[in-house]
Amino acid sequence: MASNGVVSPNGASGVRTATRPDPSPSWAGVGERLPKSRRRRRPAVTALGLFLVVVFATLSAGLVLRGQHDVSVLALSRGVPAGEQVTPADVRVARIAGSGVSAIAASSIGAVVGETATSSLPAGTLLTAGMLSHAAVPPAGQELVAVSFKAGTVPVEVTAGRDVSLVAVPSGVDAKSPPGPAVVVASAPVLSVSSDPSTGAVVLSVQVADAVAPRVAQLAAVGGLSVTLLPVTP
Amino acid sequence: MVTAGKGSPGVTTTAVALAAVWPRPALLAECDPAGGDLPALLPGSGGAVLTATRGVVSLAAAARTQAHPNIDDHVQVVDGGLPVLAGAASAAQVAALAPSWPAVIDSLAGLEGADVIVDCGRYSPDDPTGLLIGVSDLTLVVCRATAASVGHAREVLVALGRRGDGSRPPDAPVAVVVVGDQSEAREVGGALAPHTPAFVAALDHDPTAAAGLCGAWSRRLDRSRLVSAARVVARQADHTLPAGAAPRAVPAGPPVHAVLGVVR
Repeated sequence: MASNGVVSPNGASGVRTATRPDPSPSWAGVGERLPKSRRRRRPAVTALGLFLVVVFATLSAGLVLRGQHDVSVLALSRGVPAGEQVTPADVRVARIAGSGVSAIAASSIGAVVGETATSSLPAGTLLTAGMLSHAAVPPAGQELVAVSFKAGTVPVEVTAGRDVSLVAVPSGVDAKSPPGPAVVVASAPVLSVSSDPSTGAVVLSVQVADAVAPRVAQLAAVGGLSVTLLPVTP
Repeated sequence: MVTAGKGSPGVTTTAVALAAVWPRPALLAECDPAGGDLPALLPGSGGAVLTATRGVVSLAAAARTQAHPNIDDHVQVVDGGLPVLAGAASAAQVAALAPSWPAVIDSLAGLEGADVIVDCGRYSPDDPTGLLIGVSDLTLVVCRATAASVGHAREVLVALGRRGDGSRPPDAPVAVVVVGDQSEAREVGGALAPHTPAFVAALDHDPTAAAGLCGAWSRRLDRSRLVSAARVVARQADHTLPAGAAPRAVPAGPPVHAVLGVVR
């Protein structure tokens, strides 16, 4: 301030900075000069953080992709009655995800068309191998005959797939029927069982050899048949 | 101070804070007789490392051969813009420089264009701190708000009052800076009676900001309680300086402000 013996009036009155005649040193800055604090870099922690980000991103992507993993299977676009052949128009492709379903893959559509439904299949059913059969119903040399029985004359255990025996019984006026065993069909498979709710009558679809089919049909028409259930044969 | 490890009240931190917020250009000179530690604490501009050999040591060496060494050659700038005159590395080095201390202190007293804030560490009449008292326009005694620390501050005030050798301007004020809040500062002021400092200022106890002033990472250092309090103390100290003291007391140059501390 007072170098070279020069004292300005302002300096003498106490305002001591503005009147300094000499240029300030190069390092002398005006304003605050707090030390800058730098956060210390820790490359190991940074690398660990990036590594964890990559690991968990990969895990998440894997989980999402696994959740979206589904397969194309075949379903019925309309109902198919038992014994009818499956046509291409009956089948559509469905996409499902999950486990425990043994549906037929969409790529096997060629093996499905032309197969015969073993039971009545409603629309929307996922096709499985057990629902379809390669064999036609009835096979050659066999015929299907419907036999109606009055309520209470059919064992309740008779279901589709069991074998039964058909026995002729004399009707009330037919006294000339020969006595003795009158087994018409020793063993025939039952394809379906249905009942008439109004009368309680039970109708069996029985597959018999075409040689005896007319007689079975004739006896069934007059109510001259009875049914016995045969043991299950392996 | 830090190397002494005997409960330093924070002289270096106080000196850094005051120099950083001083209302006019200021140079922080490290004259701690126990050795300086600024080069180890603070980075230079752009992350460069400060060196202990450029500062008081190099200035003392230059003073042996030149009558008026240029102090600019020995100043280093801390990252952030604070100019410092780094202290000697150890107490032994300070002792070895003893013959050159008067020349160094003359250089500081004759500095043009900036005020000098001197970190004197622990006060001792025989050390360079004693010589610095003679050219200082204001002496700040730092203490904590504990009975022991206040007792040591009182001892310093007594010792300063006894100095009658004429080397010190008779009316150069002595003030006390308490590391604590305002109420603690008032208590300390009362405890120091009948010694009446020019003022008793409070500098908040703010360890995070104090670490930030000494090189550690600290968020929003400029808004910390410590730095806010330092601005108040710096203004108060500036107003306390004797009006026109520089032209009258030291015809050769501007004032030298010594920040003086007590250990324990």
